[in-house]
Amino acid sequence: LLFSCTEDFEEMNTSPNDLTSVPYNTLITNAEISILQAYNPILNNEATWTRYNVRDVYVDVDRYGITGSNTNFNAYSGHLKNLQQAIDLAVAAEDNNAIAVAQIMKAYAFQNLTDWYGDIPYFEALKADDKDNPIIYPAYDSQESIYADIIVQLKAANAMIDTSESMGTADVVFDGDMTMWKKFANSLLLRVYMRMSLVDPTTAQNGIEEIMADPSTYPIIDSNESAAFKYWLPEDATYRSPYYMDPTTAAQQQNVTSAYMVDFLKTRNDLDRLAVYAEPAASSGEYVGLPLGTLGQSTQDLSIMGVAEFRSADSPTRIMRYSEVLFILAEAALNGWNVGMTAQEAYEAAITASFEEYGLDASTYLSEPLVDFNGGVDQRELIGEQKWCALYPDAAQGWAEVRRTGYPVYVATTEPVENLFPGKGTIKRKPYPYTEAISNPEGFNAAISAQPGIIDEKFGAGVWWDVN
Amino acid sequence: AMVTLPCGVAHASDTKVHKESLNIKDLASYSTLTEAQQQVSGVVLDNNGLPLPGANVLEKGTANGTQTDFDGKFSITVSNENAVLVVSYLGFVSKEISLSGQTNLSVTLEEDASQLDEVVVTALGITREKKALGYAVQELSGDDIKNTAETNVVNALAGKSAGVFVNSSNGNVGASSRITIRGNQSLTGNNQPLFVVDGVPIDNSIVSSSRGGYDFTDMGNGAADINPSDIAEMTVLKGGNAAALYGSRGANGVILITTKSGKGKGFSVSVENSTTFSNPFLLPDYQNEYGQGGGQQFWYEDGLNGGKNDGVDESFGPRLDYVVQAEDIAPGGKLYWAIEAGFPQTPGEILTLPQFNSPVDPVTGERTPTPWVSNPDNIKNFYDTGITRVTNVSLTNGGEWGNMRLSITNSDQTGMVPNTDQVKNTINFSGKANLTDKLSFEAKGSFINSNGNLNGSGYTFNNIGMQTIWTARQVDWDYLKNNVENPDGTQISWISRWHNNPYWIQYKNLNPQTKNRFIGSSSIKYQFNDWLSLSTRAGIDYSNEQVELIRAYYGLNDTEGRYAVSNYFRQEINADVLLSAVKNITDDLSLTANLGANVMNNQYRLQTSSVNKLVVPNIYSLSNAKETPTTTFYQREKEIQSAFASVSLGYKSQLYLDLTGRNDWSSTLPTGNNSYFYPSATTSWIFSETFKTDRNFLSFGKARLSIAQVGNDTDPYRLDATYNASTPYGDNASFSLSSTMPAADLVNELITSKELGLDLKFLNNRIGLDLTLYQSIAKNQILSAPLTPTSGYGTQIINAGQVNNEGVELILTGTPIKTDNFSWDITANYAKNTSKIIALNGDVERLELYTAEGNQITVVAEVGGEYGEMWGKGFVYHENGKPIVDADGVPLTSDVKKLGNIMPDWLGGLNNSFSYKNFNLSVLIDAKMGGDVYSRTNQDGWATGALTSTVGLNPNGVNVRDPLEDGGGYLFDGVFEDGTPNTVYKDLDGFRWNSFARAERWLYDASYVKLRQITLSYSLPKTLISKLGLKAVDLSVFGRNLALLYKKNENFDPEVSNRDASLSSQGSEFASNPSARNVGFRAKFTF
Repeated sequence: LLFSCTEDFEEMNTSPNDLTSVPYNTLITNAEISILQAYNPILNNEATWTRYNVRDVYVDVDRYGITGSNTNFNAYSGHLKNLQQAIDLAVAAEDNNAIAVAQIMKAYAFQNLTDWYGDIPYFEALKADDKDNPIIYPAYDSQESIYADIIVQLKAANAMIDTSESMGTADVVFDGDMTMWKKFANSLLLRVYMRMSLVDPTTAQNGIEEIMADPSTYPIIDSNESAAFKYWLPEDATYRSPYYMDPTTAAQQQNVTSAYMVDFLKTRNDLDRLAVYAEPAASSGEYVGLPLGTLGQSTQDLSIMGVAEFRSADSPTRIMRYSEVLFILAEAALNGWNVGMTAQEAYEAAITASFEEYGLDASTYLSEPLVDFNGGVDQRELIGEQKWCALYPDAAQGWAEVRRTGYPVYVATTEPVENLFPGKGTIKRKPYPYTEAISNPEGFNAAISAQPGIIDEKFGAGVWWDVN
Repeated sequence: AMVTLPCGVAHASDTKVHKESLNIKDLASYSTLTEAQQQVSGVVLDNNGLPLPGANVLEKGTANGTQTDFDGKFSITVSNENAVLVVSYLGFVSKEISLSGQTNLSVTLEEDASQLDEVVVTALGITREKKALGYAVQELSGDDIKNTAETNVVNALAGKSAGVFVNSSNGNVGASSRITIRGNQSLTGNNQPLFVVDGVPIDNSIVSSSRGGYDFTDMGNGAADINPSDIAEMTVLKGGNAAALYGSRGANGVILITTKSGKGKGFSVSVENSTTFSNPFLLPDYQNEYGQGGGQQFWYEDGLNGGKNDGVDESFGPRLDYVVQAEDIAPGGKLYWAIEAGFPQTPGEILTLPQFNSPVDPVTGERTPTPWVSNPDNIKNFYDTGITRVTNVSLTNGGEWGNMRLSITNSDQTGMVPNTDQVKNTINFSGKANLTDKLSFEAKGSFINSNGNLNGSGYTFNNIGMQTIWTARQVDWDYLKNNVENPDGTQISWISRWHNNPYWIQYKNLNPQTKNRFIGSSSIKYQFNDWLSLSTRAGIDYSNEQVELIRAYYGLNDTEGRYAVSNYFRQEINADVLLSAVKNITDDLSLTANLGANVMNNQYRLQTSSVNKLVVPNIYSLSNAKETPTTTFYQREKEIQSAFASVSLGYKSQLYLDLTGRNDWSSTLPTGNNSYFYPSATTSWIFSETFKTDRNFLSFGKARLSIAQVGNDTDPYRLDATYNASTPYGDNASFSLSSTMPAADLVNELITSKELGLDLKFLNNRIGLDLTLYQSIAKNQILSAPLTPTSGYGTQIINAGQVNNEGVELILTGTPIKTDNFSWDITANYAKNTSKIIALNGDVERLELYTAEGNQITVVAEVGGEYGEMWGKGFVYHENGKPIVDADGVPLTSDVKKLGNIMPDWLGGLNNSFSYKNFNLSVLIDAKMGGDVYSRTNQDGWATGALTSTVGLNPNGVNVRDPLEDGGGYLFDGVFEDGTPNTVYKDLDGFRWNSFARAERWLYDASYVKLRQITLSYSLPKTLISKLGLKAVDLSVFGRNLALLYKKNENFDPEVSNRDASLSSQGSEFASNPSARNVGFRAKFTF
């Protein structure tokens, strides 16, 4: 028997399984991947509510059945905390480009989160291990205040970036190209400003005009080539496109193209993008969509999502498109803001960019009666409709824009969901995670009372910027 | 042996131990200094003159003792010729015999129901007279376990001991069971008592392997490896009081198991066999009126929604066994859809539809419609009769030289679920050699090899339990049994979109388990003189377990097969040294003192390798991989070093005082906080002795009081922040911060227990009462508490507040009838425990402990509340007591609120035992009252339409599944806001999806009264068997888990839990396989 001494205990109690310190760049790599997988899925709740892709069986979620049991805030303890940790370490190392990349990704993630839920913990979040003032019950902050800070963060990141230095391959979005990060950050600013433009038009106008007036300080995405696209590793089962679906899974499709989308494309004679967005039904060879919330159809009689662009192992994640930037400028110009181009110029350039994204030509499409900017249809509605169509299948942005603009106006009566919750309307936000009422009751209850008019945590009052 | 003690222990004792253990020559010289020893032999008989094998013979005031052999004979070396021998035997009055020079004795013992003078094994294997103990212990003989041939020792304890609570998981082969004593002290910790086999603490963790958190295999609980055939006796030490000497892990009580030895038995051979048959105890009430589909329409094309509703597995399709009427198939008729789809019907005959098993026309390739009929017994017939055969052969021998026992056991179990089995072979050896008069050596060990194919568990499509609630009611499982795969190897499923063929799951998707385990110890004891001894012991519990996951090609979600293999390595080594003194200081004052040290080293490793796509079907190997196999490896190690001392004083055999103290040093706590001391004091007073009470009235009376503390440490590696590695992205490493917040300042937990007890026997021991009141206060609990992730971490490790457990245990015994040939004994036990959360962390008011599978129920600890509260969303009630519905007839859903509690209010057991000559009939009933469980069977059975709750007549007297316009539909029994009854009928097919008030709606009271066990045993008369050349023949027939005498739920056994018996599975029921009803017989022959 050999009784050892307790001096060995510290070594024995140091985990042999996990590292206790890592280079901060590896945290950014992890967070970038996690964020892109979290906010750009094609097969999720928002995709159905946006009428991009819908489900043909088990339509509970399509029918607004989502509850707090189906949502979580794991993003905070996941990629958000990792980015915060990376920022803290990069600040100590005075690595401005790494700080900027982490700040931009954090802003991008937070905007998505607040657009889903409304008020969320922000200023007090991620501080459970703060040395001076640990906070384990973060207060919920208003979306208005979060938006204001996202703007500050993105501007600071843009200013901080040194384009003469690369961040290196640990940046798996732009491979370290800091010019691309500047363009993405400023384009994201345009998105943020436009999203808040109905509740704070002054800030939105000033912000957008400031960016457009000074391209050298604020470069933006100015071509399909400089769009924020993330290309994956098609040969790697872990990191091939997150949208990839093997043929067997595809045969068991739980999502089919929405009837609204198929009809939208067909009525505008947009057969080129229809062929990209959807596959013909297996049984008929025709493009057949399914109204949201419909049960009991045969999958083989329906169209499913387009394979080549969206479901191949090398399909990119379209984080922010050139066409979206142009649609933002079109709307700004229509508002009378000075963006250096007219609304029509921007609108037509946006549609053209969307077509060119898939190698298509938009020239005849622009003169379609339901597309023509001067064809008699309300121009604001035209911009809303075309932006919705071009954003397919980026459901987080699509759903946000539909809520903000009110366009396109769905033909509600054809869809069974409209009768499910009489008097409650369409879904306006995601319900807070069920555990928040238990693990952060004060913050949760304060958030509920700070946002009056919410019904069942998902109907009724929309988020701050949603005044339509 | 080299011995050094933990740092911090007084070095004086160090050198003392050192010297004494090494200096054999010195030791030998001791014997010459002691008084003249005396060899005494004799026989112990009952009042009928029959020998009593296994009676205890103890030299009074010493630890020197032996047991009688099979012929009742014993031999003992006593310290002097005037020594006093105490002879005791279970159920007999002990006798003290002053030797006065006698060397050959014949001792006759009188029967005594009180069993008060029995000697019990207590902590550290120290033998004590039961009457001297100041805390509650309960003993179970090996026969209590063996008579019913239960293979999992934990299940055998159900209902037999006051305050002992057993949760079984289900009737699967090898399924785990959980045991707790006196409630849960720890909010999230283990809470199970420590199992100690022959002085060796063993692993009893409940482990499920899982693939990505959804495809589980319940690998059982560790104590289930203990072979019941080798158990001589079990002692349940209930509180921290009883367990102070086992340290941290004894805080939840200790179950001491002593295996059989050859002590004092002479040479004998026994052969034993038992056979047990198992059948499902309870199946849900399935409806047989509607088959698969939706909107009462269905036809099959491909099981992928290619036909009409053939992509759904719910039973909201057409009526089964329905005779078609002419108007049904006319345009607008309710079966006109079938005509439109091209499936003509004949009025007056049963509806025919294309089904998954309809014959395919070789010319057209179309399915020929077949009659749409019910299959009422499709699930029932799926389950086989499980058979468990246990065969044991043992050899024993004993004599002056020592003793030995060798036992070989084969346990062969086939499950109720087809193709599940487990074979366990156990070799148990026990040997003791008396090397000199003073020096003895003892070794005990069990090698256990088990292997088999276990069942999937949890709510997963590889667990049949899930499919039983999701199977469409017309599906012919018998057809599926005979048609598992197509000639090309692809699967034949009734719905390839959602389910595998059940027989595919059982015969192609396997969960093989193999385990080798060794539990053993060796000890050396040196008896310096008649009062002082030194012993050292080293024990090991080692196991290596392999669990494979085999998923065949063409399976659901595994179209190219899958293979994973997990290897578990577990090892715990305990080394003890113990210096013991047993001495009568004066005639009236006895002293027992122990000084000892222990080091415990525990190691665990888990390596899992998996491939997700196989190149060649049906070959399960890591090299048969289309993609790079992935391997994960995890290991942990912890060590606790301890020093302890105990002193027991006895005065005139009526007043006893025990004091203990222990200091632990744990590797898991921060330097500076890793040493902690905890003491205990217990006292007992046999006042019937003091006051010489009239034995015919108060035969025996004892009061006892004890106060004890137990410190506790935590798991390894909780003090530092760690980063988890993800698969590198190309050449770039990818790490993420662990979502568990480290705890650099942890301190040890401390549990303080108080216990007050009264043992009374009346009327010549015909009536007995054993009452215990206890309280335990657990402070600074170390737990992993969920945080809102918005704080940056999902969980934090904290020292949390205080949990108080209070309770009462009552054991009543009675012998209403006792004649020469017949006796009737009653034992009743009752236990009630309440756990109150007094404080949490700082000013935290509420902590989430865990969220049950399915995210509907969260178990919450709230200051001022009780342990195990279940929270979730429920109904909103009107003041008239009914749930409120909205204007549309849909019940309102409340905010998250307290709905129930996973813990029972009280437990009880009632055993009636009737003996007539050599026959004994024993009937055990047990009860668990209170406690709630969330039922997925009922929730899903409602949504799928599989249960009878989805058919029948509504308050209109119309079939609930008929259209609303015909008066059909479902009416929820609630009221509008104004209190008037709900009048809005809902179309059930759509309404079943509504998740209103989900948690409360499917919460059931889990109370039950069960007929737990009936045993009829018979021992052949000795006069008869001796003519056959045998020493004993024992026969029994038995039944276990026989009937639910009372319940408040429906469709499930309230004892059954979720995927396994672990804490996080408590409080929810997830359509697992049913529990088993067992009946069997047993025969034992001793030569």
